[in-house]
Amino acid sequence: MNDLYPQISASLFQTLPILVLIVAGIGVLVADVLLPRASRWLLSWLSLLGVALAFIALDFVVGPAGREALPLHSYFGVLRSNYLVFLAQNVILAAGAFVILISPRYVGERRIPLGEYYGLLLLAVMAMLALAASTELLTVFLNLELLSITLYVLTGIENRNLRSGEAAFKYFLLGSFAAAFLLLGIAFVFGATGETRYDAIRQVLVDGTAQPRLLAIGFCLMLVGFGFKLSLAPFHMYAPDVYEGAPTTTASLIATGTKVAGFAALFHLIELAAAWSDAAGGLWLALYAVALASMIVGNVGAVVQPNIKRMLAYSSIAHSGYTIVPMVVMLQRPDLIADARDAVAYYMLAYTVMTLLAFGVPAVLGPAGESRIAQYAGLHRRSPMLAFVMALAMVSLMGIPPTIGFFGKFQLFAVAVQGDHIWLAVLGVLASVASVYYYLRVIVTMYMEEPATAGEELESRRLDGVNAFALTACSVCVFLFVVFQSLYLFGV
Amino acid sequence: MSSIWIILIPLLPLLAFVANGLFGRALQRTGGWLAVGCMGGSALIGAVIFFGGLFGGITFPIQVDLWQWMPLGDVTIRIGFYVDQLTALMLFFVTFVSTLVFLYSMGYMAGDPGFNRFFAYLGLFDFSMLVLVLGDSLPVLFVGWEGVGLCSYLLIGYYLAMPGAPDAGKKAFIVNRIGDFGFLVAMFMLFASVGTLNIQEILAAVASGAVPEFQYSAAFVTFLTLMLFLGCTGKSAQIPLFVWLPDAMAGPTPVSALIHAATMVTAGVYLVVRLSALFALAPATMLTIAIVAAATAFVAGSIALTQKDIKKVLAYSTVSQLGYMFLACGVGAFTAGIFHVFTHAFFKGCLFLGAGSVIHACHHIQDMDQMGGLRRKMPATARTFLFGSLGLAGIVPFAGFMSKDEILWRVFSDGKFILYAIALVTAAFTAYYAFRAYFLTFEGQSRLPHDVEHHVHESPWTMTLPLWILGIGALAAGVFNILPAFGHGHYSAINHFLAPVVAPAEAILAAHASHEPIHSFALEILLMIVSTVVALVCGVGLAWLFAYKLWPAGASRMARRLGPLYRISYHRWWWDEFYNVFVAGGLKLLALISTLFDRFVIDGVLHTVAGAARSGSRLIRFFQNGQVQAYALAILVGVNLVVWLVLWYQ
Amino acid sequence: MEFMVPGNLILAASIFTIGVFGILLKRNAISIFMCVELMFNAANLAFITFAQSLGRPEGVAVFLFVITVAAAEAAVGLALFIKIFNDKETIEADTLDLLQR
Repeated sequence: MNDLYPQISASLFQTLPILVLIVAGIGVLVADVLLPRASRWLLSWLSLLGVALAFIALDFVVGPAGREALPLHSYFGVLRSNYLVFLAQNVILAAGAFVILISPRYVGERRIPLGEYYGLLLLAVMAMLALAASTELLTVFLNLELLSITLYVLTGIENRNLRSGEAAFKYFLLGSFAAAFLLLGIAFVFGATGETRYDAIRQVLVDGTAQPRLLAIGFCLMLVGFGFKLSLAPFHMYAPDVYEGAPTTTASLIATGTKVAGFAALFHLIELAAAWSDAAGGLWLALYAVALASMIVGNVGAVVQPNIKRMLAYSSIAHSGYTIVPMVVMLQRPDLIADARDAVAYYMLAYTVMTLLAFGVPAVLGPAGESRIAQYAGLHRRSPMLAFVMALAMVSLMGIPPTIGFFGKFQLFAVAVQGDHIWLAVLGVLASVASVYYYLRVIVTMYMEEPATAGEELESRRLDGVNAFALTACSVCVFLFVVFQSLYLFGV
Repeated sequence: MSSIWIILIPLLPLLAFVANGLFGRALQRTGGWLAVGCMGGSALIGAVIFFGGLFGGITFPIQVDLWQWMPLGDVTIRIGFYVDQLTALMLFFVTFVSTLVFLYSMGYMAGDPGFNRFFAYLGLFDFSMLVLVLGDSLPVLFVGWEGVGLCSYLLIGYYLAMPGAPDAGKKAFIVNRIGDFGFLVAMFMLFASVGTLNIQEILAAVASGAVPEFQYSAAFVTFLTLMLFLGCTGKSAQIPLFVWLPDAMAGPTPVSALIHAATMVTAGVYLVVRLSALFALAPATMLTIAIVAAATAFVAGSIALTQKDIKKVLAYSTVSQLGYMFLACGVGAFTAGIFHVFTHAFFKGCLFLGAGSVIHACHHIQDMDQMGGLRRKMPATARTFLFGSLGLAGIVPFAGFMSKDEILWRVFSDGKFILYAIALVTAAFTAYYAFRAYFLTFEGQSRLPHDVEHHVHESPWTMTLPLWILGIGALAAGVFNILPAFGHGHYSAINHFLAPVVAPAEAILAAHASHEPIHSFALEILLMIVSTVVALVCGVGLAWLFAYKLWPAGASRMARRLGPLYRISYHRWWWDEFYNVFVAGGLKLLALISTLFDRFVIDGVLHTVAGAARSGSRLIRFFQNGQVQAYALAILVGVNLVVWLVLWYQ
Repeated sequence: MEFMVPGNLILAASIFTIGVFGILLKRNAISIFMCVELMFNAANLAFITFAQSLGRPEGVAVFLFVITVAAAEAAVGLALFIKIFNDKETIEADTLDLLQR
C-alpha cells in the first residue's frame, strides 16, 4: 500500500491541533513532577501556551485554506473537517483558554492539585476537538469516553470536599450508564448497516438496504448517549448536581466545550440520519420531544432555583433544547441542512460566549459567589465590573436584542419557521420569554437589592489581571459579534 | 462637490458630541472650543454649498448614498442624503446660527458644572437636525426628527434642580409624541400606497399619477396630509399642540435661541415645504393649515403682549412667527414661508441671545418689571436687541419686513382677506411686544435690586460677538430676497433659488386655482404702507407710550380699562388650564380604567401563569432528590420514551 | 440484507437488561458499577455477534477498544469510590445526597 504513507502524514498534519494538545497535556503532567513546588504556577501558563499553540495550529498552520487542499476526511474517514467542525474547534479552544485564564486563583484557593488539573484540562479539550470532528461510530464512542473520563476526574478533583466527590460520583455512574446505551446504539447501527464510517453508512442508507427497525432503535439509543452529554431532558438530571458540586471552572468547561463538541458530533449524526429518507420520520418525533422537554424543564426548573450554579445548569438545559431545534427541522427537510448548520454553528458560538461569562463571574467571586443568588445583592457597588459582566451575560442569555444571544436564537427559530415547525418556534419563544424571569432576577438582585443581613453580602474582590483579561476579552467578544452581526443584518 | 463634504456636515457635530460626551471630564473648556470648531467647520461647508448654489458653481440636487438598511423581503430602505436648494438653505442657516450659539455658550455656560454635558447635547442636537434636513427618505428624516426631539427634551430639563424644568421637558416630550403619531401614520399610509419612503421617489410617483389613491381619493390625500400637519403642529408648536414651547424656556437660554427659535421648531415648515407637492393636492388641508396658522399667530401674539417674563414674550413671539410661516405655506407661498424661517433665525436668535445676555448679567432675573435702564450698563446688548426688535417688528427695510410683508401680500392676493386682517393685527402685536420688551428692559429707570444692580456688566466677547453678527443679520438678511414688488422680482434671490423645489406644488396649485391671484403693483405698495404704518404707530408707538413714557401708572390703568381682554392675554387664554381639566382629566380617567384592567385582568392572567411556572418549578425540584438511582431511572424513562415514540411512529 | 436474530442477541439483551435493573436496584457503588460493566459487555456481545454474522472484522476491533475503555473507567471509578469512602466511610449510593433540589 504505497499511498498509505501520504494519507497518514496528511491526516497527522490535519489533526495537528489535537496532537499539540496531547503533547501539551502530557508535558504539563511531566512538568508537574519536574518543577519545584514553588514554581508550579508556571503550569497554568504552560497549559495556556499549549492551547495557544493548538489555536495557531488550527487556524494558521492547518488553517481553513490548508483544509481545502487536504482530503476532507482524515484517518480514512474517521475524522471530518468542515466549516462546522472548524468553528466548533475554535470555540472549544477559546473556551479552554478562558477556563485556564480564570483558574489560577480558584485552583489555588481550593488546593486543587495543579498538575492533574491542567493536564486533564488539556486532554479534555483535546477530546472535545476530536469528538467535534468524529464521523465514525467507534471514534465517537472513544472520544466521548475519553472526554467523560477526564471530566469525571476534573469534577472530583477537589480534596476534602464532599460535594465535589459526590458530583463526580453521580457524573461517573450516570455517564457510564448513558455510555452503555450509546454503545448499544452503536452496536445496533453497526448491525443494521454493517458499516461504522458515516460516509459508508450514508451509502447504505441511500441504497435502502439497512435493517430499518434495528437502525431506528440504534439511532435512538445513540441519541440517549448524546442527550446525556448535552444535558437534554429527560437525561439532564445529573446536570444541576454536577454543576453545583464540581469546581466552577470545571463546570464552565462542562457547560460549554463539552456541549459544543457534542453539538457538532450530534449534528453529523442527525445529518446522517436525514439521509435515511423513509424512517427518519420517527426520529424527528423523538428529537422533537427531547427538544421540547429540554426547553420546558430547563426554563421552568430555573424559576425558583435559589442557587446560582444550579440555575445556570437549568439554563444550559434550556439552551441545549433551543440548539437542537434546527436538527429536528432538518430531519424532515434535508434541503434546510445548510441553514440548520449555520444556525447551530452560530448558536454554539453565542451560547459559549455568554455561558462562559455567566460562569466566569462566580468562579472569580470564589466560594461566596458560588451558592445563593441572594448573595449577589448589591454586587454592583462592590464589584461594578463583575456585576456588569454578569448582567451582560444574563441579558444575552435572555436573548434580548441587540445581544449575541438574540441573533443566535433568531436564527434557530428562523430555521424552525422555514421548516414549517411554527409550533416548535412558538413554544421555544414562549419558553425563552419565561426565561426572562429568572435571568432578570439576577440583575435585579445585583443592582436593586441590598443584602438582607450584614454577613450576607459577598466580600468585595479585586480582579486580578488574568481574570480581568479573560472576562474583558469575552465581553468584548459579545460586543464584537453583536456589531458584526448587526452590520451583517443591516446590510452594511 | 464631493459627497464626503456633505457627510462631514452632520459628522462634525457628532464628533463634538462624542468628544464631550465621553471625554468631557478630561477636556473641560477645550471640549467647548472643540465643539465650536467642529460646528464652524460644518458652517463653512454649509456656506460653501449655499453660496455655491446661489451664485452658480454647484448644481443641485446632489444625492449621497450611504448604505442599505435592513433588507426585509422585497423592501430595502436605502439610507442616503439628498441636497437640493431647500436643503442648502437650511444647512446654511442651521450651521451658521449653531456656530454662533456654540460660541455664545462658551461665555454663557462658563463655570457651569455640566459644561461638557451641555456641549455634548448641543452636538447631538445639531447632528440630528442636520440628518433631518439632509435625509433623503422619510425614515432618515424621522430619525433626525426624533433626535432633535430627544435633545430638546434633554436640554429643556438641563437644570435638573430647577423647579419645573424636568416637568417642562416631560411636557415637551409628551406633546411631541402626539404629533409624531401623526407623522408615523402618514408615513405608513405613504408606504402602503406608494411603496417607497424615499422622498423624491414619492414625489415623482405622485406627480406621475402612478398612485391611484392620490388620483381618486381626495379623502385619502387630505387625511394623509392632515396627519403630516399634525406632526408639524407638535414639532413647530402650532394650535393645538403649541403649549410645550413656552414651558421649554426652562432650558438654558442658548438652547432657547438655537432649538426653540431658530432651528428645530422650523422643522415642521421644512417638512411641509419638502412635501409641498403632496399638500398642494389637498386644498382642504391647505386651508386648514392657513386657518390654524393664522389663529396660532394671533393667539400667541396676543399672549406675548402682556407677559412679564422676557423669555416668555420671546417664546410666544416664536409661536406667533411660526404661525406666519405656516400661513405662508397654507396659501401656497412656500418660498415666502421658508424665507421667513431664514430671517426669523437671525432676528429671533439675536433677541434670545440678547435676553440671555441680560439674564446672565442680572443673575437669572427674567421679570421685565424688575429690569429697566440696562442700556447704560450693557450698550452692546441693548444695541443688538434693538436691531433684533427692528427685524422682528417688520420695520422697513429690515429682515422681518422683507419676509413678513411678502407673506401678508401673498395672503391678500390669494383672496383670504379675513386671514389677511388677522395677520395684519398680529403684525401690530408683533411690533408692540418687541418694542415693549426693548423699552422695559433697556430704557427708563433701573428697577433691579441693589445688590444685583452693582454687579451688572456687559457680557464677554464670546457672547457679544454672536450678538453683533446676528443683529446685523436681523437688519440685513432681507437682501437675500428683496420684495418682488421692487425691481420686478429681479432681486428676489431666494425665490429664484428655491423655485425648482416648489415648482411642482405651484404648478398643481395654479392648475386647481378657482380664481386668479390678485396682481396689482399699486395695491401691493399700498398694503405695504398700511402694514408699516400699523407696525410703527400701533406697535412701536404704543409700546413707547405704555412701556416707557407712561410706565408704570399708565400701563396698569390701561390694563384695568381693558379688563377681560387683558386678563385673556395675561392668562394665556387659559390654554394650559383647559388641557389640564379636559385632556389630562380625560386621560386620568382612562388611566384609572387601564389600571383597574391591568390589575385585575392582566395581572390575574400573569399571576396564574407565573404561579403555574412556580408550581412546575417546585415539582421539578421535588424530583431532583439527589438520588443517583432516581436520575438513572429518569434516563431509562427517557430511553423508553424515545424508542417507543420512534417505533410507534413507524 | 435480510437479518436473523440469533440467540446471541437475545443473550446480549438479557444481560443488558439485568445490568439496567441492577443499576436501579443495587445500593453499593461497586455493585452499581459492575452492572454498568455488564451493560458494556452486553453491547460488546452484540457487536461481536453482528461482526460474525455480517462477516465484518470491525466489530471485534470495537470489542477490544471497549474493553480498554472500560478498564480506564474502572480505574477512575474505583479511585473515586476510595476517595468517597475516605470521606464518608461508606459508598452506599443513597447516602450521597448532599447535592439536591
